[in-house]
Amino acid sequence: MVAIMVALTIIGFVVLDLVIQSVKVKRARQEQLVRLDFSDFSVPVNTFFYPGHTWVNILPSGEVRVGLDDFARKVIGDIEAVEIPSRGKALKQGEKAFTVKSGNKTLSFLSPVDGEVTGINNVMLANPVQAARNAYNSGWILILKPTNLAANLKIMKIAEEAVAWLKAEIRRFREFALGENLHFVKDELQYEVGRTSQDGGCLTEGMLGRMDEKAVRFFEEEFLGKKE
Amino acid sequence: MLLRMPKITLWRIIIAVIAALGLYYTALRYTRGLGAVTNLSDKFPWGLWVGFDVITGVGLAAGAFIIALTVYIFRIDTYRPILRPAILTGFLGYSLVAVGLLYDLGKWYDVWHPIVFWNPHSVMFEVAWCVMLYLTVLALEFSSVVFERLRLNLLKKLIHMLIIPLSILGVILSTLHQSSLGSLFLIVPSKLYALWYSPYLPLFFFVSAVSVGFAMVTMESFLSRRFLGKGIELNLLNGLARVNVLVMAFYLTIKLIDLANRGVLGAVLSTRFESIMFDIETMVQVVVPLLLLLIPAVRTSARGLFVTSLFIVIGFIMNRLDITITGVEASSGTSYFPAFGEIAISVFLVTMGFLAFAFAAKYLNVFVHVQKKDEPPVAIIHDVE
Repeated sequence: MVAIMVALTIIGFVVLDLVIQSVKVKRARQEQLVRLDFSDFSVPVNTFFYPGHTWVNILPSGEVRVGLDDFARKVIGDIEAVEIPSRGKALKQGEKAFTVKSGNKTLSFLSPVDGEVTGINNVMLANPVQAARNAYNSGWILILKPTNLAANLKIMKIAEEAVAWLKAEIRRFREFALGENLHFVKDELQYEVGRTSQDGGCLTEGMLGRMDEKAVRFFEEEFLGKKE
Repeated sequence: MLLRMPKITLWRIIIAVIAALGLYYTALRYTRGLGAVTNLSDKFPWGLWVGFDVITGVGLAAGAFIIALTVYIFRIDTYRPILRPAILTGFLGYSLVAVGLLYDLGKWYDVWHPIVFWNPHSVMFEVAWCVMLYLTVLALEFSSVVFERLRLNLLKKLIHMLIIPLSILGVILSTLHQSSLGSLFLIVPSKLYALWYSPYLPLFFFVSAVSVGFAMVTMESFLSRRFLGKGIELNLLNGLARVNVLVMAFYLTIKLIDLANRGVLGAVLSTRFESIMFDIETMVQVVVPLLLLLIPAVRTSARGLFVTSLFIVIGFIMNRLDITITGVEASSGTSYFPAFGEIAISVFLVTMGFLAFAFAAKYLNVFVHVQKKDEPPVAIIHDVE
C-alpha cells in the first residue's frame, strides 16, 4: 500500500501541474499569443543564408545541411508537419525543396543549392514543433550533396552581410505585417494585407497563421521566393 | 530599496504548506522522538524514511555517475550539457539521503560512528562509507560550478585537474553502493517475498539504478524547462532513451531468467497482494516504458520522453518500496502504513530538494550552453528600428 500511496502522490502532483499549465495556456491564448521578439535574433556566423530564408552549413564531409531560418520559423509559428523529398532526389537552387505546415497554412521553401538529397532529419519529421524551435541545430531539414556549390554560394549572405540582410528582412516584414509602409505591396493586396494586423501594432509569433490566404501567398512570393 | 512581494501562485502556496508541516513535524521528531511522529515499531523498524528517502533516493540520484562516466571516462562530449544538471541532482539527492538518515536514526547524533568504529563485515558499513565518500566526490565535482560563479579561477582549475580521478572514484563508489543497497536484503531470504528476494538483488539494484538515472536526467530537463525555461536539447535526451531501451531490456531479461531459475515464475500469476504489486511494478518500471520507447514517435517527442521517464521513475520507486516494505510486511507479522508526520517529512525533504535545484539553476551556470565542435559562435541582432 505504501508503494501505491507514493506513486499516487507523485501522479497527483503531475496531474495538478498539468491542470495549472492548461489553465495558463488557455489564458495566454485569450490574452494574446506570444509576442515575437524581433529585437533578439541569433545568427550563426559561419552559416550561409539564402534569400528564400533557408540556411546552408557546409559539413566536414563536403555535404551541406539545410534548414529554414529563425526568422521564417518565428513568423510561421509552430511547425506541425514537414514534407521532405526522398533521398536521392536531385534539387536545383531556387526549386521547391521542402514544405512546412502550420495550422491550415502550407508554405514552400526553395533549395539554396544544387544537389542530391542524402539525408533527412527524422527528429524534425517526428516532432517538428520542438525540433524547429532551435532553427540552426535540431531544426535542420535536409542534407544535400552539392553539385555546384561555388556558384550557388555567390547569392548567399554570411556573417556581417547575413546580419545586415536579416535586419532588412525584419524591417520589411514589419512593414508588410503591420501595414506601416506598403510601398512594395502590390495594389490589389494592399487592403487585405493592411487589414491583417490585429495585434494592436505588435508582431507576434506565428503571425502568418492569422493572415488570410492571399497575404500568406504574398509572403511566400515576397519573402520565400527566389531573389537575385 | 523597495521590496516587492513575490507573486502568489498555487505552487507557492502548496510549497509554503509543505514547509510549515515539515518544520512542525521536524521539531516534533527531535523533541519527542520517533514514536511521536512515526508508525515504526520494533517489529517494523524500516518504513517510509528508509524505503523512500534513503534506498529510493540513492537510486534516483544515479544519473550523476552515469553521465560523469559517459563524459569524462568514455569521452562522449555530446552529453556534456547534461553533466552539470546531473551532478547537481546527484549531489542534492545524496544530501537528502544524509538528511533523511538523520531523521530515521534513533540516535541521530551518533551518525558519525561508522567513521571511527569500523565494522567491515557489515553491508551497512560499506553503504555508509560509499555514501559519505561519494557525497564528498559530488560536492567536489559540483564545486567547480560554484567557483566559476564566484570567479575563483584557481580553485576551479584545481578541481578541473582532479576531475578524471574524481569521476573514476565516483563511478566505483556508485557501482559499489547502488548494488550493496540490494545486498542489504540478502540477509533476509526467509522474510522477503520470493518474487523480490534473489541472490542477484545487488545486480538488479545496480541495473535498475542505471535505467532510472537516465530517466531522472530526462525528467529534470523537462521540469527545468517547465519552471525555469532552461533545459537540455531533445536530441540528447533521445540518445539517452535509446540506451535506456537496452538497459531495460537487459534488466527484464535477467529478472525473468532469475525468476525461472528459482522456480518462482508461477508466483507472478498468483492473486496474492505481493504478486499483484510485483506485476504492477514490473509493468510500470520496465514493460510499458520499453514498449513506449520502441515507438520512434514517442522517442523523438518531448511529451513522449517525459511520460516514459515518469513511468520508469514511478516504477523504480514502487520497486524499492516493495522490497523495503511490501515484501517484508507478511513475515513481520504486522502491517505498516506511514503516519502523517512521516509522509509530511518525506514530502518536505523532496520539496526542499526541488527548491535547492531551482535555486542553483537560477543563480549558477548549471544549464550551460556548450559550444559544439561544429557549432559556430553567433552574432546577435539587436535594435532593429
